[in-house]
Amino acid sequence: MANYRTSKWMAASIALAVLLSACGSGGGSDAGDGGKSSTSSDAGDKGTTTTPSDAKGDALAYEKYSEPVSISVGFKIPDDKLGAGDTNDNNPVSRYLEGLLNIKVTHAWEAKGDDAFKQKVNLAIASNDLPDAMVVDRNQLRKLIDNDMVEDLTDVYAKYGSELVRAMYDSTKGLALADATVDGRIYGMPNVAIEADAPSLLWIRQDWLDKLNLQAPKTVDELAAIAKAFIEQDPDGNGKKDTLGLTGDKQVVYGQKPNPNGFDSIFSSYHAFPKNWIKDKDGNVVYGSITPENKDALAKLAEMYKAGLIDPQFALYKETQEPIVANKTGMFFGPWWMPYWPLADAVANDTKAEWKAYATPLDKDGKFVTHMAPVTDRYLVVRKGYKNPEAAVKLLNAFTRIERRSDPNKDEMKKLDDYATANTVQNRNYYPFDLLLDYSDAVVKRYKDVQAALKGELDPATFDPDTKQVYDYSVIEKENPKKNMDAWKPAKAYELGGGVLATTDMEKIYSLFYGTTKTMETKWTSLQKLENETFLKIIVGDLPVDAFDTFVSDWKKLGGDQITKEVSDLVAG
Amino acid sequence: MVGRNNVQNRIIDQSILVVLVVITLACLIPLLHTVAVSFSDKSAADAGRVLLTPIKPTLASYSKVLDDSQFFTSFYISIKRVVLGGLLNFVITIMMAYALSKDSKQFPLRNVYMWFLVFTMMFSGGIVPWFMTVKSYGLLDSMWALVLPHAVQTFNVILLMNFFRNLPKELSEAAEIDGAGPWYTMIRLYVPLSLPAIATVTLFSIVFHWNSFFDGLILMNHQEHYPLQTYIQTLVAQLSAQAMTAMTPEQLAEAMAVSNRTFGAAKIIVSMIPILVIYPFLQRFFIHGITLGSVKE
Repeated sequence: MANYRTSKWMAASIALAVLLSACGSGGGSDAGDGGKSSTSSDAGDKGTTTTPSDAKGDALAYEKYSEPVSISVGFKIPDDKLGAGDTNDNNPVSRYLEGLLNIKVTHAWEAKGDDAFKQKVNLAIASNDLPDAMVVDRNQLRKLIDNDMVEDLTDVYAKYGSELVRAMYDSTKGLALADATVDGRIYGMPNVAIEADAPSLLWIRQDWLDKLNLQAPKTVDELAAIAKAFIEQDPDGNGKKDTLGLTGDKQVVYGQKPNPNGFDSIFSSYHAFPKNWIKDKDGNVVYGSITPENKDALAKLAEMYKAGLIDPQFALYKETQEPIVANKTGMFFGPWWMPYWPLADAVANDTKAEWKAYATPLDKDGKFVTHMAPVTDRYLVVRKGYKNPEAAVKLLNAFTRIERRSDPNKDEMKKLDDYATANTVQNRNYYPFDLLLDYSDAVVKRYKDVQAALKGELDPATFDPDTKQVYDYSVIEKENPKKNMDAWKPAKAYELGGGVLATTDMEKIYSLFYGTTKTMETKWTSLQKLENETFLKIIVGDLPVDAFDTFVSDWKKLGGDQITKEVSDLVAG
Repeated sequence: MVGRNNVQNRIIDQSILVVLVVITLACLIPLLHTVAVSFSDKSAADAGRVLLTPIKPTLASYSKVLDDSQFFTSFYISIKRVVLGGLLNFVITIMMAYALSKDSKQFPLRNVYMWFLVFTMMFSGGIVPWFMTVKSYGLLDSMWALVLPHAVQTFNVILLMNFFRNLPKELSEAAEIDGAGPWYTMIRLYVPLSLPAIATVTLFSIVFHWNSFFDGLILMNHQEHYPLQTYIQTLVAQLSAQAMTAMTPEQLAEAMAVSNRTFGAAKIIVSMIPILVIYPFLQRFFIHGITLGSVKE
C-alpha cells in the first residue's frame, strides 16, 4: 500500500516537473539592465488609475482611494496566534491598512509554510488562476514574465513608489530592481535581503583555546594545527580522548546562504567559489565549482581528513549540528546567527562553553574572502489585467513605512505595537505580502547601535523595536551571563557574529547569476549531484584529488558547457 | 531418541523465540525512542543523547503541538474525513469488487471497467491536472475535495475482488437457486464471508485518509479547513536550507526555539494515537468469516 502510494506520488511529481519545465519557455533574463529604470524617476505617466488625482510623490504614494478597491492575494499564514476574534484576513494590521488606503485585501488562498506556499503559487501559475497580487520566487517570476501573465509595473512604480521604498531599493545600488527587470521593464517589486547571512565565519571555543594556550587561527594551516590540539590535548578536561577537530556537513559547501558546518570559507580562502557563477581572469563567465582553485581547497581538506583533523564521521550525521550541540567539537564554520542555533543548545548542555567567531581563514594576501548571497529572492507581482496594479504598490509603500517606523500616524502605530505586545504576535507577519525591505546592512547597523548604547553613547529609546529588543537582551545578558538563554541568543549573535562582520574588511564576491536556465531545468539536479559526490569522495579519500579534473570534464560534457553558455548570454544581457 | 528430540525441539523453540524477540524489538525500539525523544529536553535530543528514556523530561513539544485551537478544529475535520471517506470507500469498494468479481459472461463490460481501473493505478495525470479538475468541479476548500477524488481506492477494490473470486462459486449458485438476487447475495453472503478482507481494506482506507496531508495542503485555501495531518505538517520548525533562505533573522530565532527532533517526535506520537486506538477494534474481524466446510467437493 505504502509503496504504491509513494510511487503514485512520485509519478505525479515527475509529471509535474515535466509539465512545469514545458511551461518555462525560453530563457528569461532576470539579470537585465534594470539599473536604468530604477533610477529614472519618471518613466511615463500612463499608469492606470481609478482615482484621477493631482497628487504627486508621497502624497500620491499613500493617497486614500475615494472608492473602495479590492485586491485578492495569496497569503502566507504565520505561526503567530492572533487575539480573540481576529483572523488572518481581518486583524488590526489589515484594518489599519484598509482604513489608510481604502484597499480591501481578500485572501484568494492561504498556505502555511514556505514549501506549501511555493506549491500553491506553482499551481496558481500552472492553472492560470492567479490572485490579483502575490509574492513569487525567482523562477516563478521568470515563468510569469515568459508567459506574459504579470503586469509591467515600471510606470506604476515610477508614479506611486514612495520615497522610502525608493531609498531602500537604491541602497542596493539598483541590484534589487535589476533582478526583476526584463528589457528595461520592471515586472515585480523585489524584497531586499540582509547581506550578513552570506559569510561563513569560524566559530571556535575560546575557553579551549585559552586552556591550551593557543591563538585564534589566521590561515588554514593554523586552523589545522588547532584542530590537532583540540583532538589530542583533551581540551574538555574529562581525561578521555573524545573531542573532534573541525566538523563538516555532507553538503560540503552551501554556496549562498550557509548553514552550520559548510566549508565555504576554506574554499574562498583559496579563491574558489563553488556553486557561484564568477568571472575567470579572462573575463569569461565560469561556474565556481570547476575552477582549478577548487582542487587546492579539496587537496587541503582531503589532507586534513586523512590526518583525522576533520570529524571522520562528518558525512554520516543525519543532522549536522549533532557534534556541536554535544560539545564534542570546538570549531566549526557557520554564519553570524549561530548563537540562535545550534550554539544555544550547545551552551545549555555545557555552560562552560565560550564560543567566539572569527572571520578566518584568510587568503594568501591576508584578506578574508567570502561569497555573497543574492540581494533579493522574492518579488511582488500583479496579475496581468488587474485594473488597479498601483494598489499593490501602495500597500507595499504603507507596510514598508510601518516596518521602518516612519508612519506619521503615531496613535495608530502605538495601538498596533500594543496589540503585538499583548498577544505576542509579529505585526509584520500580517502585512498582505511577505516582502520585507530591509537595508542590506541591517545586522551590522544594529550591532553598532547596540554597542554604542551599551557604552552610553546612544539613547536606546530612539531605537526601532528590533534594535531595542536586541539592546534589552544584551543588557540582561551582561548582568546575568548565560542565565537566560533567550537573551543570550540575540546578545551573542549580534555581539560576536555581527561584531565580526562589522569590524572585518571583507572581499565580497557576488555570484553573477542566481536563477535557472533552460538546460538547468533538466540537467542541473544531476550535475549538482555529481559535484557533491565528487567533492565528498575526494575529501574522504574515496577518490584521489586528481579525480577533480575528470569531474570538470564530465561536468562540461553532461550539460555544463551548455549551461555556462546560457548563463553567459543572460549575464551579458 | 525421545530425549534427543526434546532437546532438539527445545533448541529450535529457543531459537525461534530469539528470532521473534529480535523482530519485536526491532519494531518496538524505534517507537520507544520516538516517545523518549518527544518527552526530552531539546538540547539533549539535538545532541543525540536520548536513547530509550527521556532526558530532562518536559512537555514543551506537546504543548506546542496542542497549544492552538486550530489543532482541535483540524482534528475534527480529520475525523469527519475519515468517517465520510471511509464510508464512501467502504460502500464503493464492496460494490465494485462484487461486480468485477463476476466473469465477463455474467458482466459483459467487466474487462473494460477493469482496464479502466487498472489504468488509473499505473498512470497519474499529475498534480496540476488533478488540481485543475478538483477546481473545475468547484470542490476547492471543501471537505468533498478530500473525499471524492479518493472515493475509488483501486488497490482495495482489486484486493477485495480477488478475495470475492476465491469464495466458492457453489455458494452463490446455491443462493441463486434459492432465489437470491445479486444485491441479496452480495449483502447477505459475500460481505459476511469476507469480513477479514473488508476489515483490512477498511483499515487501509482509514489509515490512508487519516495520514494524507498533501491534498489538504494543495486543495484547501484556508487554514481553518486543514485536516490534522496537514496542520501538523505545517507546524514544523523546519531547518531545511531552503526554508532558511526565506527567513528573516527574527523568524529564524523563532523557528529555532523549538527543536526539530523533539517536536517532530511529538507530532509523530500525537498523529499515531488514533490509529493505534482503532486498530484493536478492527482486529477482531480478522479471524471471522471462515468458509471452510461450507462446500463439499
